[in-house]
Amino acid sequence: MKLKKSVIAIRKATQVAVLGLGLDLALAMPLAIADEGACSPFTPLVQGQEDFVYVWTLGLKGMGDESDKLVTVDVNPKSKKYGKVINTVSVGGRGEAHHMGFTDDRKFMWAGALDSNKIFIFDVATDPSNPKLVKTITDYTEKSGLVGPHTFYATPGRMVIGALSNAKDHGGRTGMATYTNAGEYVSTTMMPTTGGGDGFGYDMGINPNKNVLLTTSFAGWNNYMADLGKLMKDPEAMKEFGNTSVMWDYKSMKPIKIFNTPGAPLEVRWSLKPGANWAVTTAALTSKIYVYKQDDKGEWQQHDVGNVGKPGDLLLPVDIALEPAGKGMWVDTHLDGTARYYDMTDPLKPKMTYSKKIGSQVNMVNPSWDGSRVYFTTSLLGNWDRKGKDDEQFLKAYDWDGKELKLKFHIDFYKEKLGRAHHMKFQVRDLKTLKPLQASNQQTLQFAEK
Amino acid sequence: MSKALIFKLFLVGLVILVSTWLYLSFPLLPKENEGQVGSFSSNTPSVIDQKTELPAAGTYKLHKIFSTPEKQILDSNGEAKYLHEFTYGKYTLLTFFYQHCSDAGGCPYAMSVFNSVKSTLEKDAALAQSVRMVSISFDPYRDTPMMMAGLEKQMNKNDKKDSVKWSFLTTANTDALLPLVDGFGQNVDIVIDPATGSQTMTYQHVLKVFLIDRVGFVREIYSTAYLSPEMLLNDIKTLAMEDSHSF
Repeated sequence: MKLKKSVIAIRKATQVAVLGLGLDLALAMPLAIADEGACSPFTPLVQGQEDFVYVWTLGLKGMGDESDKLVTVDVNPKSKKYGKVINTVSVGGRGEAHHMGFTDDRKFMWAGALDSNKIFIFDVATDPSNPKLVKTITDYTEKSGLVGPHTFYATPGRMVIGALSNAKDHGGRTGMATYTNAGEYVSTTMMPTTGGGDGFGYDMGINPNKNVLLTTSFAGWNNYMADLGKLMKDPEAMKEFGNTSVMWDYKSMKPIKIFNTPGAPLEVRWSLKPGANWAVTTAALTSKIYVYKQDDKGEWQQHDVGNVGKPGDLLLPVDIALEPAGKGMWVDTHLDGTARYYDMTDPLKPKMTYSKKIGSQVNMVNPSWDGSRVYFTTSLLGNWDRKGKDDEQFLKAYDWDGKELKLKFHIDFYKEKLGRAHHMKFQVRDLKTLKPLQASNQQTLQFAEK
Repeated sequence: MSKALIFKLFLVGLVILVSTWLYLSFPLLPKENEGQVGSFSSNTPSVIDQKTELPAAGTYKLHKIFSTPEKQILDSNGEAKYLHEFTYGKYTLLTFFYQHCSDAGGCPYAMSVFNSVKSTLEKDAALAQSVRMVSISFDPYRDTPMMMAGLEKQMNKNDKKDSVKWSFLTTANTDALLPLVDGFGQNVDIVIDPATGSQTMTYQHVLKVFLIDRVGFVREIYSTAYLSPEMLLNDIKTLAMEDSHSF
């Protein structure tokens, strides 16, 4: 009901605008090419300067209100509040806040908690500077059989939620649940367990032009909620990590090909360069970089294209981000707190051209589409973050000129009594500056000629 | 045991046998891996057309996403009707649009795709008779029933007896429109001129096309980045195959 009321509130705001009663959302935005590679291709994309960064933050016992929260930071350099936390929305309790994703109209943000299995839906359109919690889904596990709602990926009118675990044994076998935008459960698709599939899941990425979905694999609740130090000394537990990635037929949600991808392949990023048909991931435990590309016969192939760091180094590559047109890629390595930049002009031969230590630990990276601004946060998982003085928690914003990262602002999330800074998403004040990806009309024209 | 009773038992057995055969041979029913709690069954391989990169019709399931909202609209004669008159009994392709939309990847693109689907369907009279198309305007002030009648006439000008009927609908005002678009989860914003603060003639929205089954359930939603005539035709045929196996 809250979600419905919020939709109505947005409609009323529109009506006010229709009546010309002074709803002034409009800010003139530079029309730079803009995008965020981690967003679903079905979500409208930011043009030019982002106004806000939302940070999905893990609550910490003894700090502030101790609850997970959505933190809004003003990141428009023209704003008087630039680089400041301008709002927080506490969800009341700690549930291992992790990732989030916009709906296909970018008006609502869905954010998940890996331990409580709760899904929080925020209205980020009525006032993007001040999100409101409008609905909490508490029966995700009951409806889907899944545990650990991780990836929130918008498809037309729906949200696909990729999970990490299952309710049966809290291991790594898992799947993807589909909900309507109104928060109603539709269906569950399990990860494949035959034909080389291990049933594990993590991230997902859709290439609508090729009708494919690429998924990766990580670990179940038994591992991701365990202390990392103890986990790495447990040989049996270390066997319980994903070793596969799957190329799916997106329309039918059936696997096309299952790849052997050892060492927990994590983030999926498709190149958004027009005509490109490749994706990339990195494996956390082997530091390998893998690229997925169609061969001359149209069959999808996985290519081992190199290592992050020296072969054998345990750096724990975590988040990656492709720059516009797939020219460059940022890779964060959690254990040494370093960001590395790779030239991806030839995706099968990535070249590292730059690296910088961001902090004692680093996890997520979000570049603006034009690549000139890059944001970093720190938390990986509550029990996997570094301990003591190395447990830095921050949002850092940099300018990037292709040669050097220059720090613009730094928010210490512990000093601000917020918690552990995890996933980031951009938003703009005026949603009418957003633009969907354009489909090629070529297919239609060819069809009409038949 | 009487002969009548034996005959009845024979009939019941026959029905069970036929039903079981239909269930096992029908690929669309959720036999495994979809909608099951905690199931680890494997997926069956995808059957993909190499040219379109789409799966063959009937080899996949289209889930019931939501029920179409029951709201009042105006047809091209200006008569107030309930939406179900345009969403029940046939497979319906429905989209929202406005006549002054100039975004090439938006309303004009959807119109082009609908036009292609209509002309292709009309080569198969049986299938054509089972499909309708509906376009509902975002702009009740300029897209009046008279304007809709003009569009309807133009888009159906070559129609024959078995043609796919393409209806153009509007609403009485914004108050009637907003619950309708909300019911479909369709966003729409009036673009405001930042210089004057007054509204422009542009209705910003994410293009969505809804495929509705014969009993009013939305079974697929498409947007600009995922919309082609082949896909719509495959999905319509998939629903038709599902219905043909249901009897």
